[in-house]
Amino acid sequence: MTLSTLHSEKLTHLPAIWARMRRGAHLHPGDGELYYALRAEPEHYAAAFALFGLRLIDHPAQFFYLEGDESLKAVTERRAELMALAFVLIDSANTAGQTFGEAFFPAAPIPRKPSDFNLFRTQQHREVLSAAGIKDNTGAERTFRFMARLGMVRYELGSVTFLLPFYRMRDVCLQISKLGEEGLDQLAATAATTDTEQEQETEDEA
Amino acid sequence: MSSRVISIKEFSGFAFDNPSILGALYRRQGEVFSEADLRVLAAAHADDKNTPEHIVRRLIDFRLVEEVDLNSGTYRYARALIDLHRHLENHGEPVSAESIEGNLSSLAQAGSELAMACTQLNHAKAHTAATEIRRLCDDVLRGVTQNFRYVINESLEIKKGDIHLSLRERHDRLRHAWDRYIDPLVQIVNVRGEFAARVQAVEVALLQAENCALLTDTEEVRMLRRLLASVTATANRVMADCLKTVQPLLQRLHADGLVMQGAALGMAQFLKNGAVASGLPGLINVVSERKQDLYRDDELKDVLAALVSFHPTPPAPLPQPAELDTDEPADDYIMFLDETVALLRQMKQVPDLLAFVQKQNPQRSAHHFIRLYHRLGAEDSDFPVNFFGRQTYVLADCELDAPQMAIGHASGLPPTS
Repeated sequence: MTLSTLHSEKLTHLPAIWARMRRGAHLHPGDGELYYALRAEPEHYAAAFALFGLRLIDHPAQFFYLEGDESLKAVTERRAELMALAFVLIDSANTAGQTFGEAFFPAAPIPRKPSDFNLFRTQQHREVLSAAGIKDNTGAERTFRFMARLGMVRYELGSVTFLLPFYRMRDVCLQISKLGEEGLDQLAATAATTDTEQEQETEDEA
Repeated sequence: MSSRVISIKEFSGFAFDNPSILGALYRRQGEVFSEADLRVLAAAHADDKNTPEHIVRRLIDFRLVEEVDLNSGTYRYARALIDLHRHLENHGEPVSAESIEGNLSSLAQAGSELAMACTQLNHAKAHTAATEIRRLCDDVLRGVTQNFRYVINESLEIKKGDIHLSLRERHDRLRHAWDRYIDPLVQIVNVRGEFAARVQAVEVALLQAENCALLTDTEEVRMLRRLLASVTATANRVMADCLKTVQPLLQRLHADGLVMQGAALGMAQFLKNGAVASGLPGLINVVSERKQDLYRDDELKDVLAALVSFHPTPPAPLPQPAELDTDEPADDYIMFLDETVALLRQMKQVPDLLAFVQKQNPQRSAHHFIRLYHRLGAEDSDFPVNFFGRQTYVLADCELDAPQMAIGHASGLPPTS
């Protein structure tokens, strides 16, 4: 789609959608008219977002989100927190013999308080969460709030209900599984190189 | 109807000797039979020891068939036996694929025997082969159905999640059932197509035997046909149902196993390299509000409105030489350039080009001289041109501050074009 075919009449909900999505929110059917406005004209909205360097992604699990280059991403530490929490939640589901769907999207979902998840039950889980800066339930609550901002969970009255966009964490786990240990070591090595380069640039600028 | 008490031993003995008629009645559950109908049905399952009359008498005496209404003379297979059949079917042990394949081979062999009996016109051999075909069809049907029920029950138990097993164990348990009892059947039925081919060969032999008048009992032939058709149809249905219901669950469990593996690997990396240093956060692309250059909604609206209403127009054309001075004709301007260049070519040296030309053409405006400079510097670049210092020239229409351009050639005259 080009500028000449970008029609403002097709982008009726753009300000409201933009207000949510620029903060990283994923829009799903539970978001009502905003989601359905996007669903009706995904190409037009995608063209509008592309003007700001953002890609609109239509996920097969029925939700939309934006992707951007490194400068537009949420800070690495917040993403690390999100991942650590998701890893622990998924691993706990596995221990309980539950599939991803059974654990997070049961037929009758029950809102649960962050402390109900027993996130710090095992030594391994405690260490993983701690590595990402989540030391206790207060830290977990902060991460759940971040997830709520992203639209991955509903966090109301101190209780959490998982929403469809949480499927992105399933995608990430599949991707990690596909990379395997060798691929992950390579990823860590690349991250280390990038860090060193950035540090060097900062020193040079100083 | 007899009112004597039947011992369990008597019932078991009858059931053991006549499983096929009970199976036939179960398959036709709900149908209403007269005694004559029962006799026809029994004839297909009778042998020397058990005559049709004996079988029917036993069915009624043992209340294996129940009278529909008192003294109506019509019967229906007993409800309790239907339930028993169902229970046995649902809880029957699965049969190995090798055993089913073996029965299928024996069935093909029995079909060959029947075909041979037709060639030899051997009645006894044909009847033996037909009895064998019936038994083997029952065995194959039972095997396929039991395996199907076994795998379906396994998948339901796994799906319900009542049993406490890890995801990996659930996957492995269903995978085992699938690989052991269904996949080999899929190979026989769907992939290699052996199942249908073998059953079809038996059907052909049966038709041959009927045409040779070796099998004269039409009810028996009809029943065998039904059985053969049922074997193929059941095998196809079972395969289709398994592929539709069990395979997706298996795939889902497999995919979920990978998700769990991913989470475990991710945790290991966090512990090994640290959360940020692991590079894993780079795998999740989540945008965040920018702190600078943030667009407000009204600004965004304005930008988009401007973009939507923007219609590109071609740029204004550059003025052409002839348009620069509308008072003078274009050929006058060109002639000036040509004449001046020709004059300069005749001269050996001109220390200050602009002063010289301006003196020759005092009425000319600045853009004529600039064009001349361009012609000498770029188009006729073989002129030996040198620049010195800066000079201010008073022209007809302006004052021009420019480097002094000298034309001269140390080695002789400027070249002629």
